[in-house]
Amino acid sequence: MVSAILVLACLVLIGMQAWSPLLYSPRSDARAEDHTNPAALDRVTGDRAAQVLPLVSDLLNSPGSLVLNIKGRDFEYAARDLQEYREISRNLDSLIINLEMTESELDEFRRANQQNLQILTELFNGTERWEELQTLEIRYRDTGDSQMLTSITYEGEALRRRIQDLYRDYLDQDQVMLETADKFALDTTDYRQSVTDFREIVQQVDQNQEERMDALQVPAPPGERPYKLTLLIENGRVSYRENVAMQGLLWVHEKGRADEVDLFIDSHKVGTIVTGPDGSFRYDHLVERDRAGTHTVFAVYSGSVFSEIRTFLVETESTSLDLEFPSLQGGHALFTGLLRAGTTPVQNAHIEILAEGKRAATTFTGTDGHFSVELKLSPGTHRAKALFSGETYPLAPSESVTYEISIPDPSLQLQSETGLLANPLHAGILAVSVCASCLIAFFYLRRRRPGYIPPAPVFHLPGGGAEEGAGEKEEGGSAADLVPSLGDLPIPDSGEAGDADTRGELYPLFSTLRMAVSRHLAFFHPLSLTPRELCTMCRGLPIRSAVCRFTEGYEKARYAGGAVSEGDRELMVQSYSSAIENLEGRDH
Amino acid sequence: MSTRCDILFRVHFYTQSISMMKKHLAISALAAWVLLIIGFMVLARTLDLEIFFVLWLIGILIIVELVSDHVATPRYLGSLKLVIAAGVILFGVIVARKILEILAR
Repeated sequence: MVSAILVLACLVLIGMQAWSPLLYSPRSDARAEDHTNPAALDRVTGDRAAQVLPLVSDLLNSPGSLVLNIKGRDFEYAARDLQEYREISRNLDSLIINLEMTESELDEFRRANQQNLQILTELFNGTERWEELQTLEIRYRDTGDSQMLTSITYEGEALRRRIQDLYRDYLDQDQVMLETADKFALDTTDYRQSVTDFREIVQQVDQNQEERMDALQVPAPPGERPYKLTLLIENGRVSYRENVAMQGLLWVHEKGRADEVDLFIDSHKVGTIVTGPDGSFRYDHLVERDRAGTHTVFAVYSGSVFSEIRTFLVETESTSLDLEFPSLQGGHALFTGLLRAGTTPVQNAHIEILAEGKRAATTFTGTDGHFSVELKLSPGTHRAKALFSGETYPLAPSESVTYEISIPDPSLQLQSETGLLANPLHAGILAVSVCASCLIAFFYLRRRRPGYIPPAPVFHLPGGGAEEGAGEKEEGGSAADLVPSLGDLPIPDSGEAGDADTRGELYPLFSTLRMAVSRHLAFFHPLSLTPRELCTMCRGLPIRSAVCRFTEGYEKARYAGGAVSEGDRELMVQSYSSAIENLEGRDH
Repeated sequence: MSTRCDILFRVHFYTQSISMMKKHLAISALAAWVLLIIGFMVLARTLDLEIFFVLWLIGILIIVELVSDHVATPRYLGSLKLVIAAGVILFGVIVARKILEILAR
């Protein structure tokens, strides 16, 4: 009865939640008082914020120490600071994903922080290289190697432009970072100091580079050109998929001979150009993966003749990401779309598909800007969109509209099929499975455990006590299962019938005593004990004499077949009582 | 005569108490197992009746095996075995459904 109530209670409990597994959410449980209580929602946000705030605070403080170490040219400590900064940023990303805060107010902060991390990493690398250039400059100035000095100066110029761009980008993140800090009432002293230190680094680099350029420019003799290799850029402001036309003239060119000129953009060689018969050359650079900002260009002839430094500016262009409504095929959704910068399709761009704010799939656009990706989604409703992050492109990030997709449950699809048995394969699987389970169930019911002793035939002794006793077994079946029922054992009179009855009634006593002793001695197989073994087991126990006296009498009555006198019987009963009382206590 | 009745009562009480103890232990173990399953499912926010049924079946199989005796089977265990047999058949149906679901994908 108790088990039935417990099982029913369990089934009712689980049944109450089975159709709606989400226990509570402000959206689902509109009846709750807290649903209309803004304070309750604030508490939820507050709990999350409490976990995120220490990380946000650390992230605001980290750039301060990092930029200060870079400014002080202590690159060992700066590298350690950068590593810590990277780890804290990673922790924040994980925490935001774990707390499902992707769409929350901290998302902008996270993006700005990622941008800052990238900027400071580049600043670290740039300033480290800048220091190397300083060392090399001293060395080459001592040896008087003017070509290498020119090369260093030009690379320094590219670095200066890059560091200036980084500073501009760093300032762009200011607003988001400081607004978030104000919102959570966090200290921004370190962050503000990092901006000041960054500016000082830029000023320092500017000053050094100016000095270097001044030292390089040797006034040309009257009537001679300052540069024997000139370079000109036609369009100085370009955007994605536009060409930067560069043309120049090699003045030291021997007429009729084709010479080779190396062209460098941001100190990286982009190609070798063959000059024309008149020494002119032209190169069109297609802007694709160039970062937004200023880029430096110069040309070198035979490693010793340098052109002047020219610059061009790559502007950031906005993008549009069009995503079509996903087509569903089974549990899969097919996402197709187009990424454009203005009217120009963006090629080989990395596209992310986000489902419930988490990255579910990635793909690349083709040459026509189209992309397509198939995504397996779990049954249920999902909110999905496409995202272009714009990294490594001079393009602004963009995202598509968000679609709500419902993936049907395959089990419901099965139920809705017109006939489950219409498909022979399905019917066969179902039939085989049911037959197999029926067979297993049948063999389970018929199974006999190893060591099972089939019940011995029952011989009813005169008096019919056994029959009546068998009919009165209780539902628990406990007494009847372990020992023969003693319900109505006749009181022995005399003669053979009386002896047989006495032997029959002694067995339950022996069985009970055996169980009690086994329990007392923690013996796990009481049914295997013979009377003598039982007596031996009690060695050292105070009940030994009583148990042995009982088993001795029981052996005689049970196996010797002799008559049991009234006196012996009383003696055995007393021994039994004495042993049991000793084992279980008088009141048991 | 009174001694004899006293002994008979003790025998009856002792054997019955052992069986009742087993019965109560089995009920408690099964209830604890079921509550544990429900608890974990609620914590994981994935209440699945099929998984619950399979875990319950495993639990009851183990408990019945542990409780049943080599030489005697109480009547309530016999009834439980019938329930388990029905559960095994239901389990077969669930397996068939799962196979069909996988094929449908």
